[in-house]
Amino acid sequence: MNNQAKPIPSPAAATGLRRGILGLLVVAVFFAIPFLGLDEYWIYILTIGFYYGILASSWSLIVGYVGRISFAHAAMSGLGAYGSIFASTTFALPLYLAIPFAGVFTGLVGLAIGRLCLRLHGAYLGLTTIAFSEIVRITITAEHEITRGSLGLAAPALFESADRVQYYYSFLAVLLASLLVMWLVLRSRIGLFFAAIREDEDAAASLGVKVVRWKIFAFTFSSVIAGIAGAFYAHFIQLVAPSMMSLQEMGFILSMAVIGGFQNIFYAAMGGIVLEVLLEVLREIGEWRMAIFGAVVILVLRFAPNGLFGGFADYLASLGRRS
Amino acid sequence: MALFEQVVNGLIISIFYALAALGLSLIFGVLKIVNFAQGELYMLGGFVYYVFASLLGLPPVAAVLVAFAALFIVGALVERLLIDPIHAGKVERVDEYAIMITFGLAILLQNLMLGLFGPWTKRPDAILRGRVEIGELIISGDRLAAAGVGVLLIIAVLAFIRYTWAGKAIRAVSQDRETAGVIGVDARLTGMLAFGLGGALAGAAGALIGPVFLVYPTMGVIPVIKAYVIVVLGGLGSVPGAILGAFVLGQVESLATVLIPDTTRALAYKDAYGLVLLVLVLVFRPQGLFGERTRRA
Amino acid sequence: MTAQLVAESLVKRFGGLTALDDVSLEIEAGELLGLIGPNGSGKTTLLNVLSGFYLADSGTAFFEGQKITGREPAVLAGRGIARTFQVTKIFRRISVLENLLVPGLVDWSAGRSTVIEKGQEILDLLEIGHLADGPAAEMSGGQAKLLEFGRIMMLDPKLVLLDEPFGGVHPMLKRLMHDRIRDWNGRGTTIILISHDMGSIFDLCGRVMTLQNGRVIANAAPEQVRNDPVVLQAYLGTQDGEAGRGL
Repeated sequence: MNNQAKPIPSPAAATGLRRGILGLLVVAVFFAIPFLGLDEYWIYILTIGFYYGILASSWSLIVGYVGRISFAHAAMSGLGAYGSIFASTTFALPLYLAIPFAGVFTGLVGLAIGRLCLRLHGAYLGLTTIAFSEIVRITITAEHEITRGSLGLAAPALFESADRVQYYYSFLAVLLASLLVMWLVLRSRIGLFFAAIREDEDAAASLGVKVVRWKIFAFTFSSVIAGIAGAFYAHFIQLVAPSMMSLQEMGFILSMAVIGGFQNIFYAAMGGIVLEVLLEVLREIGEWRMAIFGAVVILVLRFAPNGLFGGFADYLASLGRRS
Repeated sequence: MALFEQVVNGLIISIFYALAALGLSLIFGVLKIVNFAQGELYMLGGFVYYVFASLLGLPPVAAVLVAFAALFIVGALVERLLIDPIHAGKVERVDEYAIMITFGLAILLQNLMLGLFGPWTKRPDAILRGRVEIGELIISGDRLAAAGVGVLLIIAVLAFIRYTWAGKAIRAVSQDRETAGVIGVDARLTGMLAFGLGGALAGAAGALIGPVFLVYPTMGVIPVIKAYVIVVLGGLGSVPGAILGAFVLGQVESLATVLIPDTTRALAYKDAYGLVLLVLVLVFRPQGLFGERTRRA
Repeated sequence: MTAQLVAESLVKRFGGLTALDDVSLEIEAGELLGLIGPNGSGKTTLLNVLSGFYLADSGTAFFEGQKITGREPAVLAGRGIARTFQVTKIFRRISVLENLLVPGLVDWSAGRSTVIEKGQEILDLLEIGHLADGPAAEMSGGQAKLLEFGRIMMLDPKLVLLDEPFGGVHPMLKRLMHDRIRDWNGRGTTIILISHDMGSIFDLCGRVMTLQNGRVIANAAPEQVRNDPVVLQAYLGTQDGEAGRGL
């Protein structure tokens, strides 16, 4: 404890600007990539990377900002995928209605689960969300008359042409849109309430913050985003199986967010994109890839809790402060 | 008679479950964290057993003991390297850190073994082969032997906790870490011991059950979920609760399978019954079926 | 006219232990009431019931004629009841000023710039204005107590419940806190003060209530309580009841 009041440098505005410019540069690079003559295959991989970017960032909204764990995120994406398929095939909705329907549907499921279990903390919440996600996966596998079980369910394509670039830009757009919406919420007073709940729930409540309401809101919000991402993914991949809700898939999302930096939605999104690309680049070493990612997750949590991108950004900021 | 056979089968499965869940409960009791890599410690136990019993030709019972000892060391190391920093105040959000880091460990261990041994299943030699007939009841020998050794192991661990000084330290820290420190119990060492013991139990469980349900890198995924259900049923951190919870789950599963008429559907949902139970308990009675209500309003 | 805060026969049990055993009290608006008693006598439990953190097993409490038992803490904060915690609960990983913005922005009609201005004024008043942009985690224990103070000042509360505000606080800071409490009370805010620091209690409070084993054993002016043999007995004569009952 330091009793001495020391002046704290306040470069917040300067670094904020610098990070903003850096972010725009990254976005510009992603917009330019299809023009660089990259192999179609890598365009495809990057598109999947954007999908994981959406999932990793919306998961980090719950874990990094509100400070609550969830293992149900992959299941939410899966519900969005199946929801949109049923809406577009069984109920013959056009995709521009089916996908929002999937978002609303997962949002409602998220709301219900949030109401049921967000009073729980830590390990209890972790266990309940694992149980929920497994129940959903088992049910969808078991009801094979409707879902075709583990064989997987065919989904109508998003676009008539099989042009990869079209998918690339639409996923990039969805990623940017969801990051923008999350960012707007997080920089409003709601983001401050999230932080208060994360830091100390009792103190937040004693100061008038409706803790339960905001936790449920965060969980629902993040579920809607996951559901929409899952729906888009279904109409991109065009075949959806219950394995997309597995705990292994949840492990991917967690690794991506943690390694990128789960305390910041942008770093988590980058983690999603970069890890997906690395998974492909390192295809030759097979299962060792995930072993390495697991080890990196452990090292990052232990020694660089802001993640690799967060740590790198902090390093850049410290350089800027010194000069 | 079919019902009776189901009950006995449920009983044997329950013993397996208890074995898998006991370690989880022990760890939670002392360290107040759920080890999300417990299933992978179980899996490692299976592989240690496979290597020593099948590849190196050690007698099966000796190989179980090797698995027990090896996983004790692994557990203790995990505690010292990953969990101990929590108590040294090096971590901001304790609960979430522990959950994520043990989950990361699970990813690491599973894929490490996939890399080393491949995804193929292995059937190590069992302690007993063939069938055993008790009256009209026919039980396969590997199951009976695994259950028998399992019961002995559970009794040994309960006696250890009840009667030894180290066991008393575990109970003291479970109840109140700070007070235990005041009366001279080394809480750090006790934490390491508990995690080691928890790992050893998981390892022995994997070694005993491996010959019955085969050994492969993802073999821990389903049993650990059962273990979660059990410890929640019995109240997290309660060792007798875990044993009771295991019997409840074993019976619920084996009876539900018989009582639901559509057999394919009943089987497909087999792993879901416990999970529904878990959600119901956590939402309506978070202290477990047998635990006492906590103080907080 | 009835008192501002009325509690009738509050009972709170934890398992076999009765932490509050038929506690009744009345406080007029603008009073400064001291709450004392040995460890485990039920002081913090009473605060937790009055601020909505515990549900009373029986009994009711009214604030300005409205029932407050059974209401959520956040609702009570909105009605003008604010509290601090025995173990300081600041929001460590956001800035000092942002700590104050949380209660300020809970009111949706309040604009951000006015709330920031008000927060900065309060920090200056508490002489920690220069720390505003730094992370709260870097504050000293005493500064953190001041920050908790500042946070509830943002709510403009009518009733303030202070739980051991002087614990581990440097004497210089303590004097500053005394001044603020007097100011506050002087402007009509009702205050209940829990403290083991008898100097502070007798200095500040117009009335002192003593709890022992969950019961009110004395309720009078400070001079009277100081010489009350029952109170002295409660403090000096017993060794039990050491079970801390913090949040």
